[in-house]
Amino acid sequence: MELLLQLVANGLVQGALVACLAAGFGIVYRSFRVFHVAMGAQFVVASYAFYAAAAIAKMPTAVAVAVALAASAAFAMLLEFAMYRPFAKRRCAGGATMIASLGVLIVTENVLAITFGNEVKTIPHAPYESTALGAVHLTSLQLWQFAVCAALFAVAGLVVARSRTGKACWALGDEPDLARALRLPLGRIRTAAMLLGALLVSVPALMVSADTGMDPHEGMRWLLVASMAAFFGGRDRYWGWGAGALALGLAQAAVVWRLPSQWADTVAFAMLLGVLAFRPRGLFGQARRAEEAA
Amino acid sequence: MTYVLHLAVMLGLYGMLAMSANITIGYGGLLSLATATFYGIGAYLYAWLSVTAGWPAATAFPATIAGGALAGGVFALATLRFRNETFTVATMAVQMVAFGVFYNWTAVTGGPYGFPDIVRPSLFGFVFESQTSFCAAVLALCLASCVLFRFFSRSRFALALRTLREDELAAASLGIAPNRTFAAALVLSAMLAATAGALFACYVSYVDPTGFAIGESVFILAMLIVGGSGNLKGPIIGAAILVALPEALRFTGLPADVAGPLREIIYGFLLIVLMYLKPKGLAGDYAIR
Repeated sequence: MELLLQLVANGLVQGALVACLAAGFGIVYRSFRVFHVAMGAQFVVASYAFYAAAAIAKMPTAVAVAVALAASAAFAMLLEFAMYRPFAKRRCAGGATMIASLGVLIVTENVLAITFGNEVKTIPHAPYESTALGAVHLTSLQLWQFAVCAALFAVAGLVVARSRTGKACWALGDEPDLARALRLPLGRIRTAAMLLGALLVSVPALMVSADTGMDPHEGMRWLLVASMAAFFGGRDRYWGWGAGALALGLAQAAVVWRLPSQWADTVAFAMLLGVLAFRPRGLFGQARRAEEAA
Repeated sequence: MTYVLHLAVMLGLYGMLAMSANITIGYGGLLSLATATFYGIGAYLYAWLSVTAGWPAATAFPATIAGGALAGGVFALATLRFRNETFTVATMAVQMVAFGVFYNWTAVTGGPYGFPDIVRPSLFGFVFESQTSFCAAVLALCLASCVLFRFFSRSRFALALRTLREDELAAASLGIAPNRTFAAALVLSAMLAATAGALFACYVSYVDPTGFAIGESVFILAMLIVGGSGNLKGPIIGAAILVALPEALRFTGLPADVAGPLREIIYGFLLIVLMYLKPKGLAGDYAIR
């Protein structure tokens, strides 16, 4: 029972991290209708910028975090102006844009592999102290991970739901041509969506890399984790993405309870896929008419 | 000479894999990232049947292809509830699950240590031991797949698939059953990939899971993107280009830890540029949507 509680606590922490990632993936996906594969690139760019600032240039942590977030924002802008926007202007198909985005992920991870090497890199740090909450032990970093990511996810959700720009993002995803006809400031909306997406991906990326280190090829796994959580929760529902992330974190915890931990990803993905087969539009997805369904 | 034969074997294997992906992606329009799953299932199943269970090649090969078909059927059940991006995510999840099984089910697959001691097949007393004879066998099978593919591409079945690809609702209203037709395509594609997997296992005599990860599926997809899909020649051209690319880099004299990533950087850029300028690839009939 204590083991289960501990695992549930770990699952909640994992769920909060994944919720931010799912939202970072989902906001770009929902606004641009582009399967944002380069989100994996965004993740590793943020991690390695953090590594370069904290471990190589030996900056204090707060400065290193700022540098990493700035680098991540710059990468997002590069991605938007050099790729997504030209592709959108040319009216390239969703699948074509997705494959180009996959190309970005491949190029990015290999540039990082040449620059920093293929092996796992860790940022040296003092051991994180462990805090006991009843029977559950969490490291101070885990508490930070949960608090920061849960808060970020909630605030970003309020921004998306309440702000004009957030609504415009959703509108852009639903009716791109209508959004143009209404003369919404598309450039600014797209920039805002990319930057918010980058922030939502980078914060958990930094917190994960501070904990377990990073390798250049982990982007694909995080992309799958984020997109699976978003689609599982319901791909048009911001709060659904959080539910999907929580389900994934708890499913992994449940697997580790009964099976060796290396099976966590494998069995958790299989479980989610099994459930999704019965609810193809996700837990909170809306039913659509056949000609709208996709 | 061995080097040329090695390239020919690789071209034959990747030609088959590209054809396999072409059925799903180029004809069905279903963007799957799980080709390497069936490639891996073919390799491990053949390895297990021939080494652990001790079956002769003449039965192990057909059994592997049947196993591939079965896996393709299960795959169809799990993923055909979805379309478009959701289908792609589901195939990525399947690929991730399959890799996890290859990697962690150590009792059967050997896990990260791999599956050693797979021998070259023998047929009617003739062992395809030498590089030349094995290469000839692979090329013959690849050629046979091309011929079969030509039959396939002119069949009503391929026409039905292309119709579904263009407009699923309209196709369904013409009496084409979407899921049944797609499932048949996935099964066919899985059988072809499993065949390539079995050949690969015999060729290298040792299989380990890293060759069947999602990167391999992406690599096979890249062949369709570069060469084009929806016809016979596109994927073959793409396979030839992407198999030749690392060999061309070999002559530049770069160290291996730069040449490997550099190869991937080049094909990553190819994906971006081609999707922008030429979404049908160099010789394809179908532009990915």
